[in-house]
Amino acid sequence: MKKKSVITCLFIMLVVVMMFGVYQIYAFLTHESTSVHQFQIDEITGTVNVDGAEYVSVVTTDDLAYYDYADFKVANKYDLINKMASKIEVEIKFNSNFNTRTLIRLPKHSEKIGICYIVLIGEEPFSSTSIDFSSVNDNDDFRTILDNYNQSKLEDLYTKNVNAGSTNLQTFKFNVLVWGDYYSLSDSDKPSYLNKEYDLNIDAKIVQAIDEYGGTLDYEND
Amino acid sequence: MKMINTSNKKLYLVIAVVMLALITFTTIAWLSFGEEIEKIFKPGDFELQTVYTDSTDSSSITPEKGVYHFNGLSKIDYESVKEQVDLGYELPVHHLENIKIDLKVNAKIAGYLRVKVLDEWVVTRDYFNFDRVTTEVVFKEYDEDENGNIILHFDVAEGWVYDEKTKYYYYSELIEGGTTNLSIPFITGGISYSPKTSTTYYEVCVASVSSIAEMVQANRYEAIWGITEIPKEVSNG
Repeated sequence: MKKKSVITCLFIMLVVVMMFGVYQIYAFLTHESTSVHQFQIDEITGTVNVDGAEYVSVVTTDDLAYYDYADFKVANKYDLINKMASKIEVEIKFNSNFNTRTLIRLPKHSEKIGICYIVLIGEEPFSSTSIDFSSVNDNDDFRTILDNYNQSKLEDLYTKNVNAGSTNLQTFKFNVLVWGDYYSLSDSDKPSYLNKEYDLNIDAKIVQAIDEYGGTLDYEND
Repeated sequence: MKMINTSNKKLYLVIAVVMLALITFTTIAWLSFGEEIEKIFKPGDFELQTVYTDSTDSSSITPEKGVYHFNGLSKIDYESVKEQVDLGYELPVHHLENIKIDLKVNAKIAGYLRVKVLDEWVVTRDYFNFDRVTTEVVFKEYDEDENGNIILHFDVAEGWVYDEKTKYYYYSELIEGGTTNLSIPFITGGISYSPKTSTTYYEVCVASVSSIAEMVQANRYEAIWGITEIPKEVSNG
């Protein structure tokens, strides 16, 4: 009796698995023929390069320069601002035969005391016209404006469908410019600012374009 | 029997939850591709080295030896040379006119470079007075002529601009971040003083040369060096 109950239970579970599996897979099965229905399961594959090499583990650099927020309000200082920026250069090469979206997440500046950063999509330059800093009165304003800019750029990026490439190999690039931010440090940390290290985490993903649950796009929670 | 049925139900429920979780986890894993990237940033700095050589044979000139001018000959140092000359020893020659100073730079971040030359010229005049010699120091500084014009005692390479207010030579080009083992010519030779001689006296000129080289992060020269801009016009005075 007990054995029969177990077998019954397992059978029911198997049916449940198949039901859920079919429901999940349905979102990206492709229809190849009207006479014979053939379905294949697609996936996204590729490589992620950081600073010119395939990303394997944490990358380290020792070229961080501290920069004053006031200089970002001066148009003719942007040549130097760019030259003095430390960078993360990311290139994602991926293969998909269905539409995709690009999901990039950066932490808020409140989580990364000591550095400030801006995301640039593709070959986009960073110039005095990139962001309006005229309302900046202090370092907090500056960091808030950078947060708003990054969030806006990445949310806008996420809303755009990337059509499946005919060669099935696509490339997406973005850079993050980073500077040291002395004025965001606490008073106790300022004396040792030249010896401090900072880490920045970036979540970079290519995801399928169709929201499988049929709901609206949600950059924060997707 | 009742206890066994209740126990089985709990078991089935646990199995169902586990299976559902596995399905969900497995399905989500291949809806996306990417990485969580982490990069660590450390502040950059500079490495700066001043290299003194003799341009005739590229031999190095060390602070211990120095470079002096003595009536066209060199000395190790004034006091010891007088002693050595009196004893009749030959001395190595590093003539002031052959002095060469280069800056070796490694820069993790972009910066500007400046150098101050510290030179002291001591000219003494020995008067003959029968069997006695009286030594008189004629001058110790040799920076201005009789009209008050600054005299530059060295030939300076291209790219350097002298600022009279700070008395530094500024390298007008920005040193880019990521620069490694860059050798920048600074001084390519000295302009010697011509000691005078007469029937009653002869002069001896000893020049001591050293330098202070500084590098600053490119956006901080105003605050650190107290100047409003990096001198750009090429001038050798």
